[in-house]
Amino acid sequence: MNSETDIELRKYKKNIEVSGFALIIIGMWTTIKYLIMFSLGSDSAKSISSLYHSYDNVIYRIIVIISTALTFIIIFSIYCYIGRSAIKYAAGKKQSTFFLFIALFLLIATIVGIPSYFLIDSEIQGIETVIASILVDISTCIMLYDIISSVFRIRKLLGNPGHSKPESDEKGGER
Amino acid sequence: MQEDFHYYATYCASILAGHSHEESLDISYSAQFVDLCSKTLLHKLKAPVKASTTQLKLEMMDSGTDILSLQEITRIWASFHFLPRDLYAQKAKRPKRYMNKYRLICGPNGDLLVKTVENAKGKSLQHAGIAMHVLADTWAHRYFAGTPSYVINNTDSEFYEIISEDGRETERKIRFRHSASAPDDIEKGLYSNSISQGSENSIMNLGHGRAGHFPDYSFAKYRYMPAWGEYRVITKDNPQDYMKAFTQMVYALKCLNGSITSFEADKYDDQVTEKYGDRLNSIIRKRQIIANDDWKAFGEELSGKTIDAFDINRYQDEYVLAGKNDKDDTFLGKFIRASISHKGMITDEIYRSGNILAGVPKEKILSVGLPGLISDLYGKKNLHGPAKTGIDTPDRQEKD
Repeated sequence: MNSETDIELRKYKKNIEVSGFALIIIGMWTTIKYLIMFSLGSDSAKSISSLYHSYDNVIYRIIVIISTALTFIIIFSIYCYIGRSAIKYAAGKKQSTFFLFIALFLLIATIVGIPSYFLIDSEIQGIETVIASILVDISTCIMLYDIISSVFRIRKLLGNPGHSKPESDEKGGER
Repeated sequence: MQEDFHYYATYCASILAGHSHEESLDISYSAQFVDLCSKTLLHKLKAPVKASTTQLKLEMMDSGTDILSLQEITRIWASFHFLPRDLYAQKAKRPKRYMNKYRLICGPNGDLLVKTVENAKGKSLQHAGIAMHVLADTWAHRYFAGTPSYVINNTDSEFYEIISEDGRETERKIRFRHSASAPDDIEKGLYSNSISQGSENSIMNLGHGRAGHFPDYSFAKYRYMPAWGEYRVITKDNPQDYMKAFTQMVYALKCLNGSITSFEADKYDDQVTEKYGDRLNSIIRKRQIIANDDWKAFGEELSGKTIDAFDINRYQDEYVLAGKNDKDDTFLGKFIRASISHKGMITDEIYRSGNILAGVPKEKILSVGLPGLISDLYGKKNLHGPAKTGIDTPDRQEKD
């Protein structure tokens, strides 16, 4: 029950579970942040759209709102999918590791996006906002890396593609 | 532990150790009173509040997370309910702040237990009762610390009860609910625990709150992962521990009444197991929230006398009505003196180990002043040498 393998498996599963929860919360925060930015910020949908003369068109407005909403849903869904999949994987309720590809994609996208913060005119957005955003993105990268690397370590420990629960974690079983 | 063990089982142990019915009542009353002697009660009796041996929920809610409040909490809980096993335990790559809490983890057969029993020798029956409460709790509350600490006392959702039925053991995952008013339902597996609080010094992380009442149920066997265990799982076998607690109490009480010369750790009265083992096991292993009736019946069989139900008000009038110079001779007066003596001894030992979580003895402040305190804490690291026993880690548990 307390062999080195059991201990390491628990540790990595815990890492995956905690990072999964954190990713869901970060997904909620990211969605709320962009929602506020697009609703009220200097780069709001209204201010961008008002540059185009077709903004007065109702249909055009509806399309903008729907596509913006869909974008938020997709962003949040990606975070949620990775987070929930990680939690289920850690609990032994999910065998497939497809979510790792999405996690890797998100990790690369986040890393690629970090340098863009340094191109933003901080006088407009505020240096504290930029720093906070960079820190959140770095944290996201660390969590995603943690999930990916922990899954690979678990697979290495168990020596097979899927992962089965070790004997010590069997629930409701006879001892 | 609950009233069933602290009051009735202590009575039984006392009878088996050779005490009379009246002496056993005094000892067992004192053992149970440790769970009730709060600041609020002492205020009501106009007694010294520094003798408090427990804290009510409201008192704990009122206390803050500043260092003085934490010291007040630790002084009480570490002294009376979570006696540290090894104040000099070692753990690699941990800062002092963590080690101060790690070293407060409760466990049986530590040096402090020996000092607790020796401190009660030649003193009142009330002092013996306090020592028995402390001794019993070292078994029930082992692996938890008497100081609020998330990194020590927290558990996670992987909490399983091991149920024995017809010679076979099965596991049932426990889902805790946070309902202080709803009683635990052992048949349906519904248990309450304290709410998870990520704040390190939150009162929710004091003692075994995160494990609910499991440590206090004599029948319970369970496994879980403590926060301090570095992903190691612990199997807590309460029936086995409670049996050891009982037989060790008999041995300790024999030491206190002079039948045995001195108290040594890890020694038990095996005659009790041989003669009453089956009867004790039938009480301890019976799945019930509280075993008052069974222990009472056993005690009355042993002594042939009736054991009065515990009444918190029994000795209060005697203390309140006594004159100022006579209070110390009353039942509660003796209990208060014993409590102050025991708390002072434990607080002093914790301080001497370089740990300020239980505060600084007043005499020390007066004698050496602030420069002396700083020198004491940071100049001399280990006043009494390296760790002797070490915390009973899951690895050691498996070897046992």
